[in-house]
Amino acid sequence: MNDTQKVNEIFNHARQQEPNYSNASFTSQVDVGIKRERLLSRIRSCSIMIIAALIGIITINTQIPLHLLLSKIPASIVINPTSIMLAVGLSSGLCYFTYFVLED
Amino acid sequence: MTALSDKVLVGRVQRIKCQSSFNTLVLRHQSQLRYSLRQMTGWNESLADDLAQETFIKAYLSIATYRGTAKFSSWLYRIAYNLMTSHFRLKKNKEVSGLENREISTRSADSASHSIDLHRDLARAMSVLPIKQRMALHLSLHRDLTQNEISIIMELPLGTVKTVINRGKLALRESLDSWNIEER
Repeated sequence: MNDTQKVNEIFNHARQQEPNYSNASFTSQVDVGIKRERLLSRIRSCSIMIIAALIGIITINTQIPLHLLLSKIPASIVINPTSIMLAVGLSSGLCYFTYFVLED
Repeated sequence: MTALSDKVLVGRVQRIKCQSSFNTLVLRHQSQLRYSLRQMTGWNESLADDLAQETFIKAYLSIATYRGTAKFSSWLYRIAYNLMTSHFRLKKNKEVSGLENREISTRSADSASHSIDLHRDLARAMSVLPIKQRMALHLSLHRDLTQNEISIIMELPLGTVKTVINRGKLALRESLDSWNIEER
């Protein structure tokens, strides 16, 4: 038997005797690792969104006169048939949109 | 009932992030991957299992990038190989391997398990080789993969794979010179 054949023979021998590792706790550890990574990635993306939102707010605040917009918000609410119809219409639209999104 | 193929299971994970399908894939491939990583790490069992876990976690998180052009097991080996090379690069390969080998020699002297000695000794003999040669030799001689598959896993040109395997065999011949298979 030459040297190359010997190397092949040793690997063949090892392949035939390859141990079979039991799955005990391995899959559950992988499961835990996946959940941890997903949580971390969610935290990362939320942090990025919050930072982006803060940057956006700061930028907008310097560009748009917010005090003028805030002053246009009515201080009192008048309940009449038109405002009730408007509220019903808006809430129905919102419910339909939520149902449509969740159904997908 | 016939077992579902890897392709079907991967499709389910890609479409609906099906955790039980992925668990089936882990069950199916964990033993071979853990053994291969033991061979790659000079039979460092805890490091091999950590790398195997990381491989499966990374596979799950990046399953959308698996196109199905290669076997799922080949894709796993590719992830494992990348993780392993970056691990050894970070830990300064040679120093870590040296320490790990010393730990293994102590353990193997205490161990009474003869059946595992062959694999452990082979891993120790392989640990003197560069990581690229170790991986190429293991995939070729132990896993019986074609040189084309190995070139895809290791992202090396086909010619380089052939050279790496031949050089690895030559280097390993010297380490295994005193081996007697009948005794093992």
